Amino acid sequence: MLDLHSTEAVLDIEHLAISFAQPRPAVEDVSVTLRRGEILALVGESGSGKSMTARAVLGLLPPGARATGSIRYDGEEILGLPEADLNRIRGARIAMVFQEPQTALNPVRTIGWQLREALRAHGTRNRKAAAARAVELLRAVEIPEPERRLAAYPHQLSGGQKQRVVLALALANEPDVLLADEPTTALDVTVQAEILRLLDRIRERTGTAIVLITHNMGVVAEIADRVVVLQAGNVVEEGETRALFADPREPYTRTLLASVLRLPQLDSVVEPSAAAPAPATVTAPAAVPAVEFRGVHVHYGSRRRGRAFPAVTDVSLQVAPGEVVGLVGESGSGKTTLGRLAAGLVPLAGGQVLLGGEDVLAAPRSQRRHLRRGLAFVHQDPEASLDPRYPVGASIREPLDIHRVGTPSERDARVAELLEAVQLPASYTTRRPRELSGGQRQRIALARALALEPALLVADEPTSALDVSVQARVLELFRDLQERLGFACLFISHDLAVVHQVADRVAVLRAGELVEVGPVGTVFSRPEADYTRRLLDAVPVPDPARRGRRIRELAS
Amino acid sequence: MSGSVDVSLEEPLSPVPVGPVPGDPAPAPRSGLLPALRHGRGLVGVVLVGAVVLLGVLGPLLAPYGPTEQVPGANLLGPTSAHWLGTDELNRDILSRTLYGIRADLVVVFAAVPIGAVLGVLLGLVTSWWSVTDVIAQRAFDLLLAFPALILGILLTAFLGPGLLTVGVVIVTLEIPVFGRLVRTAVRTVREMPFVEASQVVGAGPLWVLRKHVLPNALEPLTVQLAVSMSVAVFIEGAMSFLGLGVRPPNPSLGSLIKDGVRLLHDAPFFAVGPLAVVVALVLGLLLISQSLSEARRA
Repeated sequence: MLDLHSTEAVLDIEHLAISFAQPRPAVEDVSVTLRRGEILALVGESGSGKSMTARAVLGLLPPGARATGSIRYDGEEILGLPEADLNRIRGARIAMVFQEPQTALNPVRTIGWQLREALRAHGTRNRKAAAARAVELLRAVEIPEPERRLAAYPHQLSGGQKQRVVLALALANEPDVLLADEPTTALDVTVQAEILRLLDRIRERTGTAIVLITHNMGVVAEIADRVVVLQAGNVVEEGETRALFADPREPYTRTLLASVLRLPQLDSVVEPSAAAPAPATVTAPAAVPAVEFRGVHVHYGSRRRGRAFPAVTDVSLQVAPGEVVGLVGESGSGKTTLGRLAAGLVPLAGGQVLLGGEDVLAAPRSQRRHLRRGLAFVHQDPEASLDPRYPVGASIREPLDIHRVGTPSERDARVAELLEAVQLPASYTTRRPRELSGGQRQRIALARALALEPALLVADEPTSALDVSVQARVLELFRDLQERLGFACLFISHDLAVVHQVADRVAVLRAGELVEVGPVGTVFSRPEADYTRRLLDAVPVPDPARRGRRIRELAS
Repeated sequence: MSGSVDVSLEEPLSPVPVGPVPGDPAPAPRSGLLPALRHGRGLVGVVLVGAVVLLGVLGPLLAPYGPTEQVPGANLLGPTSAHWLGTDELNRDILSRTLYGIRADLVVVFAAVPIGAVLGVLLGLVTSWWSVTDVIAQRAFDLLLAFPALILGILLTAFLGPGLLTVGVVIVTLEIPVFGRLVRTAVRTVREMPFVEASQVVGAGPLWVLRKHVLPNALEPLTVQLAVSMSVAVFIEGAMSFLGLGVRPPNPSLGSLIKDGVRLLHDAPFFAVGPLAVVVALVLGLLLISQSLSEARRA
């Protein structure tokens, strides 16, 4: 396999700098060399300039950006080329794959039309040849029944298949370089694993060099040959994947790697002694569950019109006081719906939801409000979870205002306490949400959720929009607060490592049904259900040394 | 209220960082809409509207004659040093009538439109939360919007008789659905936002959400619409008075002055120039304001 990698550079970026009107440049000084047939990972947190670097290669910078330095493709300078000359290179020699397959495809055109368009854009071919080539491409990205798929529209394909089509579009003209900007971030882990293996095979088959932009160290460890670590627009460290993971030189790389959450190895049959006592205490007979689902069903769409879609089917689950239960599953598994059901945000179609032992829906209206008081919700998106019109202090205060807790000055004092609890200075009360970073906003959202000292917190992917290092800090804070305040928590996440970090027990959902429930340690080290095992297998391991073995495992 | 709730947490887990926290983006203060009115188009609009308002407010002081005062011997004069805008066929000073006429328009613009806006916003806010009232209110709004403004004006005049009050009622009636529709859009978008869910989960009722979240987030588009509606109101007053449905003679309004000017176009071509200039200034000024506001909103 190594003989594929010649030392010939195909793309050479030297001292690239990109700046906007803002004082800080987006990219300060980046030099990267891509060799033929290699997979190079550009990693870094948001704002590190990794996407900007890739966009600069194809001249896709947003208006107002100024780029200096040099980008040479095959020895030819391409930075600052006029559009017409760039179009000769775009797609034909250097192609790009974007993060969101949903928006990268035109929803009103068939897959076949879009593939033929890409082919026609470079070198006119006759219709028949283009159609044949389109089938060939779909076969290359391993889409079953390619002939039939040509007539399909993007919405008829799953997320993974869409990303395969996007890949096929990028490969249409056999480019030398493929720039993949977070190609698997929007996908489920199992699909992500398939796409990564596909990328690897494409590289081996065609010798295309791939620049993989990602924030996920697991993905890097899985397929990259070399890694370039970016921080705030500068190259921090560069090296061969194995060496870099084994022995990171720079402190930044070290913190980045340390922040990555790891799952225990599947086959290690070490009984997790830490997790064992937790269930014992919480399943004490006297304890009334903080929330209990009894055979709940949830439907989306109108049942009268016969279009009801079952989102959750017959799920029974208990969360004991002070216990953190992780809800995991792929998209569409109903994990978010279940959390929203506990919060009373979606209507119940069947079964019972008990909060603190009382049926919420059966309770009279006045009492329902009181029951709800023991409950709080933290939303996934830090952008939208705070009202942009209010200073964050007012947002934290809102639950206290609604329930008229104490005097106004007591409420203000409480806001200051809560800010301290989430480790933000009290002076932040007057800031607006847009003046805060994503991690700080999630801290504020957490403070607001804790304002009424809830018995149950529903956290819907609270860290999935954050960078790893920020995520690690927020999770640590969450765990500390949970231990100190002792609230129960329904922690929803697609990221198994995150759940492993914070949860006592885990419930695995698939297509609206409960697949497996149990203590985290047991479920993750010795899963009973096949589905759980598949999920765990698909999680990329941030350890390049295990790569070979994992590929064999997955192939079998 | 009772203070029985324990509002205390223990000391923070780790020292609270003072000053900017790592990864802290620089505060990006956003200035809101008002600065847009301090330069360029917005400033021109403010100056135009301000000038007209000033003329109207100070009208009684500035006017050399009374609005219905007849000056002996001054029949259909052109502009002279005694009568800057000339006189009409009943020997009245047109400048004085115009200045008083502005007052009628100001009432319409700065009283009727806001009343209509407030009523429309309240109705729209409250009805669009629940689907049943939403359907009823929105269909009623459709019905009102389907009427051309002038037909509605003629219809209402048949019941109320012509007069400034009728013009006001017509404008209020026209503005209610416009604002009701606009605020409904805001309710629809804002209620789906996570921060609304967050407050609903802790027990906020619909009225709380509407008051604390929806209305503040809807204010910007409403401000823009307010300026647009005001310019439309000037136009409607003019049109209704022109048709004789508005202010009754002998009292002046801009619309009725223009009507007289058009009637006497051959004998006194200068007649309508003054009132027309005022209407143009007012409408143009309001449109410039609304335009610069909506641009600032999108920026």
